[in-house]
Amino acid sequence: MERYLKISIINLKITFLPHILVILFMCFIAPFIMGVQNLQPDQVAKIVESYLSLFGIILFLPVFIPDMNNNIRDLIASKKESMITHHCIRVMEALILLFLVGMLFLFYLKSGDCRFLIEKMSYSLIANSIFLGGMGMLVFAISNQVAFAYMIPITYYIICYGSGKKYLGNFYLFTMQYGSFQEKYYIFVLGLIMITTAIIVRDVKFNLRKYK
Amino acid sequence: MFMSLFLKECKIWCKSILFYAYIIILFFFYVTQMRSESAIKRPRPGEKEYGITYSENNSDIMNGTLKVLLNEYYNNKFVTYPMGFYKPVILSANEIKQVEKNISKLTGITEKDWKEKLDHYYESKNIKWSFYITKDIGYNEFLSIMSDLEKVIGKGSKYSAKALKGNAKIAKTYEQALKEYDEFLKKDKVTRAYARVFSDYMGIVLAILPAFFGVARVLQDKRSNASAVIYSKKCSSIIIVLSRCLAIIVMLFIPVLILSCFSLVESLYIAKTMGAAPDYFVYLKFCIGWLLPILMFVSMLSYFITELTNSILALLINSGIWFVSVFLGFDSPLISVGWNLVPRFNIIGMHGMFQEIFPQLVKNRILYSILGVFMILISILIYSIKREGGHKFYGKISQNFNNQS
Repeated sequence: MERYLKISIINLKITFLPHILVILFMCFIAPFIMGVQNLQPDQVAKIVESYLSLFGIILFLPVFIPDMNNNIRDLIASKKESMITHHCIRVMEALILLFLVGMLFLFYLKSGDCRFLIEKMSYSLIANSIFLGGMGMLVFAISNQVAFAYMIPITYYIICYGSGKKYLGNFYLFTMQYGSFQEKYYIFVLGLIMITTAIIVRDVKFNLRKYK
Repeated sequence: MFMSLFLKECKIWCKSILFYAYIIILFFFYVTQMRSESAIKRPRPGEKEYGITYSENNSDIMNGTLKVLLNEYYNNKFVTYPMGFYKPVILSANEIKQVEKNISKLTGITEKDWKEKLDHYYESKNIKWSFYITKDIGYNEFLSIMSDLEKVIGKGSKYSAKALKGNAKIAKTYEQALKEYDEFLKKDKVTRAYARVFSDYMGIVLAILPAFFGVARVLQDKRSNASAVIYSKKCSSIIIVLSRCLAIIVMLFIPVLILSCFSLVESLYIAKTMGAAPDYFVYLKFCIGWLLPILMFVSMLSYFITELTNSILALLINSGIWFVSVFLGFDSPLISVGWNLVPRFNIIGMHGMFQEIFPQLVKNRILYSILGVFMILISILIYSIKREGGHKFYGKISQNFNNQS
């Protein structure tokens, strides 16, 4: 357990720190660019779905970034813990960070007299973030290209703004703004599936490379 | 040397999955957005309505603003653009009271009366609008009340002096509608109106997608450990960086040009059926003048940042710029230019309005083109510095400054 804690602290310092700074910066500038006081539930949903959901891309994509460098990957692989353990630790860290920063922001909105159910909004935030982040992770695992991994979830997000409502069905990201919550279950489950698949694909690819 | 490197770079992109994803995304956007646009129909005398336009008359401005104010008050959602971007303001109980006082002044009716009337209006849908500015209030006094309202609501509201004219929406007459139709046919030649909307839609995706290419190209060297080998070659930094940057720009611009041909063919068909003399080169002009500066700026900014930091920081910065340029302006008027990276003109027709914004659009495009070229020059400079020794700090040029301090 102590080793896992050490690994996660190192990950936090090396892998996640710049990304944490980015999401904190995004939280800091939010009051200057959008209304954050006296909001109705649909207006809060708009902030959560279209702004805070981006935290998923920022926090989950770095999970595989350290292994891009072959030397670092080989070094990590030489340790006692398997690659899959390292990836799971990083995913858990991303999830905890997302939850912490997201909840802080939601409580900040609550303090500004915004009306909404905190459990629904937090679930919506986590579902959307896991979905976008999971999509990026899966693309990363398959292609091993960081730019491509960012491109796909960001494009998906843009499509949701365009004509996504018409084409994406249950996987449309901005349903709560229109009063529908049901879709979040689909998004959440598919997000988890994508994260799990990404870790498995990455690990399988790594093992194949090792035995070549 | 330059040409052979340039062609090599183009070949690299032809084999890249990123490039094919880019083409698919552009095509998807084109199909889902552009195909739904319909042409302006010739107005006929005696029709129920011909659309809306904006009045210059003080009385129309005052009454139009009152209507907007009462509507926003009823929903307690005041739209503002504090930094040129959309921000809805929800007022607290105390602030609402101040707005109510100003409404009483403007209407000359007691608070209780106008509130009852307003509730009645919104609850029963068949009642005509019956709120007007009282005769006791002149235009100057109206302006001073608006200034008070702006203090309560915040900067960039619909009550700022600049925005007041936009509140004076009036119904278009048959003559006005006919004039607009004639302009669509003769001045816009139909094709120009479609080219503007094409540029508007494509601008949204081009404000982000090229960023991935700048990052991918620079990081490719890092991944394949090729930097040191390339540094040792005879070829100058100018040729290496310039061939890479131009290859990105050219390869990303070709699919845009091809898509514009699809749209051109469609608009030519519409122009012919409407009896207009089409402009065959208008899409090419708009692609070069409107879209190319976006593509250049976005791709070169990401190239420059990645060359400087050797990280994915450019993706975050470019996403931020896209977010600010596009997302926060989504609820803003469909025609807006200013200094925004992504100018908006999402209406077929409105030739007069386009003529009004055209000078600003030209200045805006020139600025981003210059910035794009500037990014290429700085990238060359940084690459030269790295070649002369910056690479010993793991390719991060910023480490040089840290080391000095």
